[in-house]
Amino acid sequence: MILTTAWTLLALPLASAAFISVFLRKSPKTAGALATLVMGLCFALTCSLIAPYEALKNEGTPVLESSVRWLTAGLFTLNFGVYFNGLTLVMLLVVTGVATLVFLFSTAYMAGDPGTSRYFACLSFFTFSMMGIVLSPNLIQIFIFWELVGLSSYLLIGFWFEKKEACTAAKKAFMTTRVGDAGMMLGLLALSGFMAAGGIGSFDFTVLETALPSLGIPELAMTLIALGLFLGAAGKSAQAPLHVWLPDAMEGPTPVSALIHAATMVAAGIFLLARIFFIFEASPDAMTFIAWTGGLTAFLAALLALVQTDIKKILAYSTVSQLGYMVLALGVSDAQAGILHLTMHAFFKALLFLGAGSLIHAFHSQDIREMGARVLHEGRGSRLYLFKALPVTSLTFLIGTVSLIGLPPFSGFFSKEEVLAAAAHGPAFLFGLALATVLVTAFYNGRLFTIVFLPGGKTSSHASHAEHPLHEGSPAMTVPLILLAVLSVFGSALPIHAWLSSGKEPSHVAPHGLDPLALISVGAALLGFASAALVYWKRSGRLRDALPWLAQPARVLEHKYFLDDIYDRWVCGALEKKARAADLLERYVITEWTINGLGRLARWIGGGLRSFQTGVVQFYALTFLIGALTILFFMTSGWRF
Amino acid sequence: MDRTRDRSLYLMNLSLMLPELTALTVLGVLTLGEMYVKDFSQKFSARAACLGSLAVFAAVLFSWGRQGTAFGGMFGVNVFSLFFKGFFALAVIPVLQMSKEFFAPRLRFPGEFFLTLWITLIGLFVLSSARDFLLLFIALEIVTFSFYIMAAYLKRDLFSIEAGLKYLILGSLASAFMIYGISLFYVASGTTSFEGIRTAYESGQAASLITFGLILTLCASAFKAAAVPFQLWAPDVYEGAPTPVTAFLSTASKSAAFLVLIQILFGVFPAFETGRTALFSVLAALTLIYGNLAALHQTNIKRLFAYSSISHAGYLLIGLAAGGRAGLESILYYLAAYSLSTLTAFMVITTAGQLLGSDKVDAYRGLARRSPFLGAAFFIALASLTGLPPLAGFFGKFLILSAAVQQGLIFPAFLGCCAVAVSLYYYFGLIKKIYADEPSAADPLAVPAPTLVLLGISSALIIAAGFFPAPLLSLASSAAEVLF
Amino acid sequence: MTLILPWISWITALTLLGIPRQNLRLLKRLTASACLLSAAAVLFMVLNFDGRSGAEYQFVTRLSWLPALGIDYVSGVDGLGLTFCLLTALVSGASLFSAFTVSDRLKEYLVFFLLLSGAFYGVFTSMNLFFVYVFYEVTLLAVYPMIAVWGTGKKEAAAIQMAVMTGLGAVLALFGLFLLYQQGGPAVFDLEAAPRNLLAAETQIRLAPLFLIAFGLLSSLWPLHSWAPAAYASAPASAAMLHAGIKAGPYLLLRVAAGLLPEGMRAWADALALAAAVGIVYAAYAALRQKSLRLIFGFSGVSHLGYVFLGLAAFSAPSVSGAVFLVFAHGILTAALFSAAGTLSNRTQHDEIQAFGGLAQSAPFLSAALIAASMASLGMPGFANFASELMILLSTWSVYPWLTGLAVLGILLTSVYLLRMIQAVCYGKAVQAETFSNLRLHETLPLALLIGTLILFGLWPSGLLQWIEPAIGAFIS
Repeated sequence: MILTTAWTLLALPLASAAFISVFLRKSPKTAGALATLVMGLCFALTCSLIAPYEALKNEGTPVLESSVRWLTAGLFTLNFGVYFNGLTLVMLLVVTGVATLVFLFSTAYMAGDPGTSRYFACLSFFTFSMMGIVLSPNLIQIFIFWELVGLSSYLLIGFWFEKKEACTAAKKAFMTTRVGDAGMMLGLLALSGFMAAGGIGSFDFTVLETALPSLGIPELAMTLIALGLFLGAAGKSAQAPLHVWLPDAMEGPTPVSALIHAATMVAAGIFLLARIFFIFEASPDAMTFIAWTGGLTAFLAALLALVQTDIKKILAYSTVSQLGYMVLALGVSDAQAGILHLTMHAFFKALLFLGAGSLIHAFHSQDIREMGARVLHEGRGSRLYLFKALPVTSLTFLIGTVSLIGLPPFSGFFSKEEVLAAAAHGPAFLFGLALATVLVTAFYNGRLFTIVFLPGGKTSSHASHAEHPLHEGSPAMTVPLILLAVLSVFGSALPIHAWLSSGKEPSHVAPHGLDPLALISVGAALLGFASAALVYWKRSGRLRDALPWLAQPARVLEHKYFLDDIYDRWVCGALEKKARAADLLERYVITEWTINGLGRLARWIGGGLRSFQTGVVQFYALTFLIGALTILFFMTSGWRF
Repeated sequence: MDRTRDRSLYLMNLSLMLPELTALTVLGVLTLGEMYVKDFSQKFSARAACLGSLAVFAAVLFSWGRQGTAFGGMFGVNVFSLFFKGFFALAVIPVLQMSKEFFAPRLRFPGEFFLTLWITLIGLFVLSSARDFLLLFIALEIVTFSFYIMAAYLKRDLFSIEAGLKYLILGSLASAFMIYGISLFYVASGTTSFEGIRTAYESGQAASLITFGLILTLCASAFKAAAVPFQLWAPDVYEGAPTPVTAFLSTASKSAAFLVLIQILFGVFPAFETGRTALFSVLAALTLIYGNLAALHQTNIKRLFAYSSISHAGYLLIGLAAGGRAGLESILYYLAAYSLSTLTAFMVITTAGQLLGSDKVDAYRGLARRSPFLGAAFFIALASLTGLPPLAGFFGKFLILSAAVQQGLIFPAFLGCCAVAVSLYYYFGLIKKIYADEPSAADPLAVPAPTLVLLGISSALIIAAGFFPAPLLSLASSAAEVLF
Repeated sequence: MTLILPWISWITALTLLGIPRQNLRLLKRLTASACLLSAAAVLFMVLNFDGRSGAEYQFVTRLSWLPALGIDYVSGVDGLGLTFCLLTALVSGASLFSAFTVSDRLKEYLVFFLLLSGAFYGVFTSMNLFFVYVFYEVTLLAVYPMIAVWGTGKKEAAAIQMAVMTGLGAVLALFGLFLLYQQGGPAVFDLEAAPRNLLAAETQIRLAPLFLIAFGLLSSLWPLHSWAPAAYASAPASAAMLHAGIKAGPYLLLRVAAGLLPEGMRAWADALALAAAVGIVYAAYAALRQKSLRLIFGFSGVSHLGYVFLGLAAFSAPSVSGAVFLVFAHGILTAALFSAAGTLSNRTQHDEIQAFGGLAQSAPFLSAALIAASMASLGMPGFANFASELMILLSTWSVYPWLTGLAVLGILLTSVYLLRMIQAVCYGKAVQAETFSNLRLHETLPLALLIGTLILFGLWPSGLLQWIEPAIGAFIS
């Protein structure tokens, strides 16, 4: 029963995407409604699976699988099917839940846009591919849906294709994730090389998990395979150095950023690490590398968020930093902490993005300074004017921010605690980095919140006097915000650990009560938020104006560690140089010199031969005689070649 | 000798000479017609000649199975000689039509031209049945002399006179070589008959003298075949001579040359095996290179076809170098295919030359647009000359190159293949001109009806010989069987 | 059945000659009926082809053509031949529509078009190597005037370059056939009867490079490829679709090299693999610099052929079946790409990608088709190209790990230049929007047909593999 539902879960979004793109091209309203309905149905189906799955798990069958043969390549048989275990259940809940809310939000947010039916078709196609990743039973099928997710994110980022920046952002996103996919393919191929040697023909996880030790893969090769697969995950989950595409991906519509670039797609990388955790466990060096990448990404991305003025960019960098946390958790071999943080992060980050969406919808601008200035101007000095003008958005945004910082009652606190507890077992420097990141996260969230929601200081010139006053979005926008806020507060109540642990009893004890680690992290969070509020109480400018002594490092942060310039010069530049060399080689060396050259040589020899045609009869007679004599000489002298 | 036997001797040789006799009667009819019938030469002489050649062809068919020799062994008839006689009889018909069309505006009395042409035909008939070097030489001289006259036939055209004169001087040099060779044969073996010389050579007496004579005769016939290094005359003579004569030169005269080469190499000196392979593979390689590369530059259509005929002589020489039954068979098939394609091409050149007024290759721009039929026939002829598959030319090249490979001549065969690629360049360049480029004038060309019919028949024959080569190949192999 | 396949088109071509030039409607109807009839014949064969004995030849008919030389015309089709016949049917059906858009001298064009498609049918249905060669030469004879007369841009230069290069390749193949004929006699020509170990090992090794170079020239293997992009860039859309789509080079290589010279193939496999891998990357780089749409597709064709030859070089059953499957997928894909390019350049009379723009706004279907085809070309799952490339990569990794790594880099580079093309053509501000306003059926149907096939065999690869694998199994025992 569970498996048939799983198959229908996979098929439903695809069916809705196909139906919309073929029939509902001209009627956006019905398309939106249909897509949201289908997503709601999927969410209901997933919830209906919780009870039977738990019953089955208690009877000792934590994993269910069914697949059909797709392709055989000699020894390898590639199947196409569904695979259901605790991790799948959690991810399905997250994906379908957040997707339903985002779809509902989009029906309002995208109301006026001409391409709305194309938007919903692509979004449904995205959820289909995301479902595919979550439900796939083998590595090849994950890779297939990996690329489909990349395609749908390309289509969605470049949704407003008239804008040049959107197209370049879409191309950049596609290419960077493609680099990751290429790494993943290489890792997969290397693994297939050893599997062929070991006589194993199937890529299914169940088979691989048992067979991996018997393959006897040498240490270095195992590390390279693990790192190859990690590169694929890093590409999708925007880990340094492949994180450059996520901030630019904000060019897409905000609900897209909420669903794809906050909750689901970027989480696919973490899901992959958790799904094939046995491969990474097999090589300790890879684990340390992953941990270091996660830790560094968390800290560096948080720093970058400090200098952004675009609200979506701040949230994008915050996502990269939180993903760094999850990768760190997985790096220190605590997969369950990572997945828990992934779930919680999905809720409050989706909330923050949708909140930002409704703010943008109201202010028609993405720059936090303009927002703050306008609130200051219309509120005529009273700082809490926005709470009166946009009550739901402000309140839910506050809840999301507090949950992101990790203050106790909220779900964010519990998942962050587990990550920090796991990091404590890891290398000390990383633990320090993790704590520092808590501080910096609190600071930039504080900065964001004070500048937009508690604006102070004189009414600066940024004020843009839009003609209509601020007003709250329609219920279709506020209901998802409220639901997500509820989830951000009570999310930790969900028995995530119970579902995740394959055995009967939850193997992982949730930290309760006030142990020293919790105290430190909450203290750091409060300190960060308060200092940001202090710094930005009066000013709403950039970091370097606010804290002049930080001007030099701020400049580095603003240039995003000059990473984009390095990529442009090294990667794209090298590509251009090689392409120019190949083109020149093609145009001149091969076509001009060799082929035409041969033609010219033939004509030149022909010309030379023609010079014999002097037209003088005596010369012809002479050649006749010389010819005859040479033949006579060669033939009669008995010479044989 | 009692009377009955020599009477039978007398009767027997008459029936053997049926094709030659019919040719002589046609000659008589033409001369009398010329003298007595009013304006015979403008209207009737060409048609009479065509009917005459059909009659001769019928005579050849009639005496197809005959075997035997006449005139004390000098004149022999077998399938091989009848194959050539039939070939020459048919090759004359398009030439007659071309000359009727070519000479009509130029000469008031074209009749004499057909007489000379007919005498060449008789010479060719006698040449194919010669079993004695003297008779061979006489027939060869009849053919070459009438070619001198025909080449210089346009008395007032400087080029034609130059062509005739050049051909005369160099032709006589070649004949001198030929007769010197034959005299050496006579000195060594005491006879001029093929059999006598063959037994003398195989018994090994005075072998060096005979070989010396053999080389001289081979050089003379190589001159006629326009093989390197004796080919310098060809471009000038082909360009200068009237187009029908050039057509006849490049087909009949070249086939006659190869006929003589085959008679000598396979009829008289089969023992000269290793020398033949060595000599002719070198000659073939040189001829292929010279013919194809020099053709890349040509701007005059007739000079282009001169070099193309030189390059095709190269392929035939590969056949000679290969030798053996397969080699001979392929030469005969290739000669038929090559002559058929060249005659079709020359028919188009003659008509186009008349209508366009110039022999420059650029004048042919957009020919297919002005007359699709001429364009199509020219396309088929050129594709067959290049050796593209569904046509006769390809199968000829296939046979020759596979025979060469059978005998282990790897390098000449490889060169033959590469020559196809080079020939692709200038033949397709021509095809591009007649199809792709814009014609200078847009009015359609009026092609005379008999040429249309002949063009249709010959292009159909080219395609048929390509798709169903079996009949022509069996004809060639039965002819080749005689010499092995 | 297989006997009449090439003749349907050729006889119609002859009848077209008889029809007056102005009667366009009749000309078009006759050509369409010829193509449909041949497609129906192929369909009949597809339905009645019993998959179990995919290795044996079916629908065999034998006509004695030249007993003297032991060559007789045998036609029949095995799994491999059937796949290529299906490819020819699909591509010639699709290119039929763009052939009708030719305005100047349609009659001659259609004659050469039918000659070309009939010749391809001939190549894939004849079982005697002599006739395979003869039919292939006819394709050369037919495609040259199509480019030289009806092409665009530097058409004469491109046509003559193509004629000479492919002519040289064909002639080298002919020379190779002679050597085979000398070594093994007429039995070598009969594909069905030719036993594998007919020739001694070292002659196989000596002959293999000749065939590799010859068929490399014909199907634009890396160092010998430069005629292909130029020729397809200046060819009319339907000629490019047919000649670039139906790549007979790999088929001939399989029949001759894998069939008769297995030892030779193994000995020279490393050189072929290296040339293929370098070709993938080189062509991708070259494509990055091209400004004209069809040159980009020409180079992407060369790059994709690299995968095919890599698969052939690995010379194991899965890799070769993957290679054949990729040739099929690549054929359909190239036909779709050139059909789209043809429609674009017909309406705007130019080919520069920078001069297009905003196609997604002005012609949503055409831009969707172009994006779908490009996605298939850069190996996006769901299309047949991905399935075949996956088969090749998986099976050649154990034989050539480093070169397969280079091929994966090639996939990356392909996405770079294709995305650049999509952004320039499909996205951005709409340019000349009105010219694309009314897309007629003959511009959209072929694209839908071809991309539908790609998706069909992408989701259901065993549909084709059930024929290919037994036939390949016979070669690589």
